[in-house]
Amino acid sequence: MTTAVQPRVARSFVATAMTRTRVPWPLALTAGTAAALVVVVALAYPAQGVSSFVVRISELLLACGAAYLIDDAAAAVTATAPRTVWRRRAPTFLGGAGLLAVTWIVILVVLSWQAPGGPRLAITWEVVVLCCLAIAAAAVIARLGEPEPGGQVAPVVLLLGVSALLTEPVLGVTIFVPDEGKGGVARQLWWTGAAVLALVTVLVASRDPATGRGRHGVRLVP
Amino acid sequence: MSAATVPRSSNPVVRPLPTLLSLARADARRFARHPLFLFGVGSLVALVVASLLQGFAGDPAPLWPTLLVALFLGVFGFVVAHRLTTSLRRSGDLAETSPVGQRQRTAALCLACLVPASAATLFTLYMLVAARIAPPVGSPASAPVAWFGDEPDLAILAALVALGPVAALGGPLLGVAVARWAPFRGSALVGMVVLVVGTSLPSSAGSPWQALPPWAVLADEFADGNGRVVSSSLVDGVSPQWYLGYVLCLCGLAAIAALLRDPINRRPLFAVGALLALAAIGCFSLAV
Repeated sequence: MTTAVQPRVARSFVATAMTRTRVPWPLALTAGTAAALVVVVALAYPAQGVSSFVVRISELLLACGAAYLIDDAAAAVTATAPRTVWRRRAPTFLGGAGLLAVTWIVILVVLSWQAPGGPRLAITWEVVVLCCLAIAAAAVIARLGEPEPGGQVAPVVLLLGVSALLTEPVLGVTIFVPDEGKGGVARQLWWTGAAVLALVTVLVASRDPATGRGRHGVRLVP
Repeated sequence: MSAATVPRSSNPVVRPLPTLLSLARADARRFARHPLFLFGVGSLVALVVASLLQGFAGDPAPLWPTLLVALFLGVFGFVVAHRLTTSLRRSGDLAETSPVGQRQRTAALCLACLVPASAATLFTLYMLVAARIAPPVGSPASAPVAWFGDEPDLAILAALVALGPVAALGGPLLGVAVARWAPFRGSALVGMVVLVVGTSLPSSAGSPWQALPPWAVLADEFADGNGRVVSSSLVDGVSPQWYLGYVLCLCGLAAIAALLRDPINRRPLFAVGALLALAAIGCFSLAV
């Protein structure tokens, strides 16, 4: 007589994440492009340093890559699996977030090597918020039934980001961190508010209808 | 016994040009109604309204608003054209039932790219009218500005057309070409990154490479000690007239590249493409 061994949930989660961690190739491409852009500019213009425009473009590229984290080409099939949305997304999220973090650290190292000092923490917070906003937009589109929202969200993130960069001086507003400092409390509050809004949007848009209580009070999946 | 005979119907006359124009009109409507295009136009209109509310003031660098035209109509138009072109692929089953070839559909999409170019032309006309009402002035007033009067009229006109309407035409044409050749997930993003980075990086390079991108910086701006722009002038060593010819050739090459995707009767397209490539090289070498 054999006894079926039920693996613990946490162990199963980690095992799944480790064995099936995968990174969407557009994310890898955008992360590689962001890092390559900063490195190439740093090497090409060693005296002038990497301009804030190039840093912003690399930030936006990372956010574009983050938009692909929600993609699930087989969503119609995987949605029927007895796993929650976040457990299904975990391998991609872990791999993708790791790659984004490593890429950003490489960019920060290059920037520090070129010009020590500067608002490194502030621009890191900027990247995090931009990624959250991109993921939130992708989660909303995925909720509407698009299995691969990354392809729709990523170009729009870059378009809106470049537009904000170019119209910032025209409108006389401070959207991104200025070179000389953090840009004031109001700007930081806006960015923090955007992050909170993005996180709430992601959580609301990623509710799994299969795990909630149905109309008749029946919990569909334990 | 009776035999029913079906009368042979005459073959329908296929008239390529009216069909193409009808398709182009339909695609132009789709282009004009696309949310991203509307967002780009709306942003430009908002900036115009903001400038009207602030009152006309003679700008010492009157050519810089062409940057916004190139962004909001050219780069946004790239994505719109890419989306419209790949939408044919997404609805492939339906598209294949239509009696129109893929090349004709591509040509119609290329013609639809005249929509952002028309919008850019309107914005350029607004720039001319605004500058007529409040002529650009430097600080002090004797300082030169890159505008009619201080620079040759033909050069300013060529710069306005090249950096405005032609940029708004070239971006969408490139979007059609990229979508036809690389209809995979993420190709719009890759194309846009190449477009933005490939345009911005050579602009800071020295001559002659600064005139290589499809949107080049044709005017230098001079600032005072506080960083305020006080005067401007056309870049030395770059002829705006020949640059206009160069970017027009690039537009033609983008359209040819899009049409070349279909492997039928390519020889005339190759010939035209070769001529355009030679013309582009010639114009570029004359421009710098």
